[in-house]
Amino acid sequence: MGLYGVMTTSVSGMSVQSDRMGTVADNIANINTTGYKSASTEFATLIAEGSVAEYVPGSVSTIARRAISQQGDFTYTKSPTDLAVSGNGFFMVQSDAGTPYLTRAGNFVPDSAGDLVNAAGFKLMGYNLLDGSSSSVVNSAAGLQVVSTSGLGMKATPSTAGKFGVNLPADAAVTLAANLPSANAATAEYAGKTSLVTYDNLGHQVTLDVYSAKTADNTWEVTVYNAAGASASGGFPYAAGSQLSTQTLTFSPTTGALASGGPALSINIPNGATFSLDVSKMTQLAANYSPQTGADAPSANGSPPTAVDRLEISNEGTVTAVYADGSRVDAFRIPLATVSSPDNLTAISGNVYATNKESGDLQLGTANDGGRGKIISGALESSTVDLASELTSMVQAQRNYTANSKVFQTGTELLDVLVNLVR
Amino acid sequence: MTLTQSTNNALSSLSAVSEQISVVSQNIARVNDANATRKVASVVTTAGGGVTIAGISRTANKLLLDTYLNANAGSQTQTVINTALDQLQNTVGDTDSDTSPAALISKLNTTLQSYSATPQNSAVGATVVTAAQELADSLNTATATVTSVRNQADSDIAASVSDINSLLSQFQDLNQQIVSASNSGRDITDALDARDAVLKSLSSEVGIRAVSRDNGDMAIYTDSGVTLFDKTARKVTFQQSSNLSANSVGSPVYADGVPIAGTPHMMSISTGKLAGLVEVRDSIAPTYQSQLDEMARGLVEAFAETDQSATPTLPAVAGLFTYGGGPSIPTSATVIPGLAGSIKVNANVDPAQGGNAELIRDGGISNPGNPAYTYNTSGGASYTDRIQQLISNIGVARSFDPSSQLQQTASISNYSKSSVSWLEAMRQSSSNEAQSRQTTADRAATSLSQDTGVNLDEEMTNLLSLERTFQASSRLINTVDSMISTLLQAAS
Repeated sequence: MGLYGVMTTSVSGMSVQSDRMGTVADNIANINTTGYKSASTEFATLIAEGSVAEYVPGSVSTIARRAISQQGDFTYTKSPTDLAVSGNGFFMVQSDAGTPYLTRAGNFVPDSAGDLVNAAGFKLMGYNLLDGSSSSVVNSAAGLQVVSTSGLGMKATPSTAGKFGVNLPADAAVTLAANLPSANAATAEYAGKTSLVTYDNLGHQVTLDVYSAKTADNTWEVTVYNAAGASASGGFPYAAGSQLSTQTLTFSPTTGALASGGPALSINIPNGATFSLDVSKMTQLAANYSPQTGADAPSANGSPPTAVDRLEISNEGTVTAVYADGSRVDAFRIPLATVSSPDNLTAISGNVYATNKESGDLQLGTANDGGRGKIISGALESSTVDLASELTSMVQAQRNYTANSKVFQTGTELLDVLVNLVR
Repeated sequence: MTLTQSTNNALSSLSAVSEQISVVSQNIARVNDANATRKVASVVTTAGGGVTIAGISRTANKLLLDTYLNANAGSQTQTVINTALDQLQNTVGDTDSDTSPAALISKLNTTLQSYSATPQNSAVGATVVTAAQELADSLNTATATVTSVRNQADSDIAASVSDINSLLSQFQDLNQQIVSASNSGRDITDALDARDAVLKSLSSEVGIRAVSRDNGDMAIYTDSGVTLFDKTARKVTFQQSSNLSANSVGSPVYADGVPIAGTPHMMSISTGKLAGLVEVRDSIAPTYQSQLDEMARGLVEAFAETDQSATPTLPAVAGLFTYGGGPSIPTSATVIPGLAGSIKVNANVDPAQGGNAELIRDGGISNPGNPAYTYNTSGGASYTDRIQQLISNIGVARSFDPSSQLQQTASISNYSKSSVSWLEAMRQSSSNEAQSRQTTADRAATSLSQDTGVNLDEEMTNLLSLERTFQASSRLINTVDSMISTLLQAAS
């Protein structure tokens, strides 16, 4: 081989160094690309057959590597749909053509159709919890749906449970039977009234007027009316059919706690659900009629028709729609995908990766579980490129390239000498 | 830890500091706003070593706020009552003032005594009529004042109710914002401050209890436990009376369909401006009015004329003083509402109205044509028996209605003096009470503001340390930059 061999070897040396320069260029260019994993080059020798008596220079070849499993730093943002993975997992996304890919680029925003799309145009996929229509298919993204806010329209939640914690005045006067609120007379007397807002199936507001009147020592009558039937002044007498429930409660004369008649009143809200009003925290003490504070305060669940105010995404990847009234509905679960060898994934334009034989099969699972890492909402994973090491590599590549070119140049000069021998 | 990461961390520190500075600037700007609480940006370390602002919180103290709400409501009640009593006292005057009914009764007494010394002098008789006229006028004026105080209270109640409704609807908006934004990391501290400010204003109008619930939600009840706000604002209603008179009662105030003040009332509120106004309208002013009515009734009774026939058959009739229901004499010891407003001097005795002042001496004022009521049957110019009788009538003890809250048996002049001292005592004690409640409210406001308000010294100290952090982070970026340029020079 001789001198020609020297020249080809040095050319291969220059070629791999230019490959290395290529990775440096790519890395520096992507220094701010969200979810970018830095590329590097490894080199392998190609040995030419030779003998002890003769050295035949071989060659060198490039093996490009991507440090896909390397964790990037987080940059925090104000958008809850900006997601980052802290750990080994990948988001499942799909291209416009519907091909599933893996990615760490979590800069998602809802598009006009409500789908969560990242900067490179890939749509985030997850399990639909709203209607449970997603199926789980082993080692495949087949059962996943595009995460979309479009299914989250207005909703009304009918009230089903409430608490009625009030203190009844132990020293109140006993009310005559004819004047009890349950008799619904204009002359009704009571020791206290509290009204609670509940909602029917369509989200209409149904206000419950809860009256408490003392019928005998330690014995009280609690009567619930639908406020819609109240008289012009807002009180008795109510229209026929407005009385929703009445119950006699007795209280312990030693502790003032509820003794019998509890623990709950069952009320059929007109056009609504059966409402269970918990009265177990009622007390009868020698104090004014007053609603309890803290956890026992009178309250009722349910909500009027409200629209989605914002999305919240938990560490486990649960996408929760928060309605304007503060109620929450779990809409989607974003799974995380892992493969056995992430560094061997095939990189595809748009910061996405495809599985191949070397990387191993796709495994889907819940985030924050089984080493898949957790999802951080309001953060993005920065590029893993470090400028200082890239510049160092660049200087090295430059020097190595020069050295290779010097070998080539010397080889040419030697050939010149050879050619000049025949003059 | 790479150079790039160092830059990122320094950058995160810069952005955190700038956010903290903006919070400090808000605090400083609001140093004089009594409702502003101190905002604090909480900084947390993130994975990788950077920092971020986890959220903005405020220094709130629910217990102190509750104390303030109670104290403020109590103070407002007493202030309202005190103002009304001042108004009554200013117009009615005290015993020394020559415009008070008490002073005018003694003046009438004096003129009667002068007249009894010179009964033949009709000019002196005319001074008796003038003194009587002044007395009747002063009772009329006092009634008008009491009525105007009641009407003022009634229209103030209407204003207070409309304030309550508008505050409740503001509260509803703010509460909705807070509930929907709670736990979102959004800055809701301004909405929370505004909601507390609404609570403070509301407590001036009516005594309230604010109960905190899940998701930052809040419910409001009156101090008597009636629901004012639970998810939605409840209606507070009141029908303003077009013109309250001495014998009419104002309408009650309803909250959520429950009468909370006035007549009838079921779960009555005890504090707040509203409670004070209703107290003035339905209790204090009517009591004072009934004292005036009793005074007027006492006068009609004292100056009444009886049948002088040998066998009296005719009933006693109103003499010098008559009233709307005259000439018959009102039942003894029973308040006739509004009598003080209609008491007047009989025209038959008033020279200005063509009457004859000498009828005081001679009797027969009610009907000069009817000889049955004439005391001076002989027609002598020096007849003083009737005048002496009238003087003793003023001094004689008579019965008064116990509902006027004064002594049941007293002479008319003593009764009128007691009425003045009753008013003065009420005013005095209410003024003391108002002062002490005002002090309590001021103390509560001070401790609330000290605990949750902005302290300028603290903010300035924070500002200095933030400035240092910013400088250090900038310095770091500068250093990394020069390190990278060193590398770039090596590559050239």
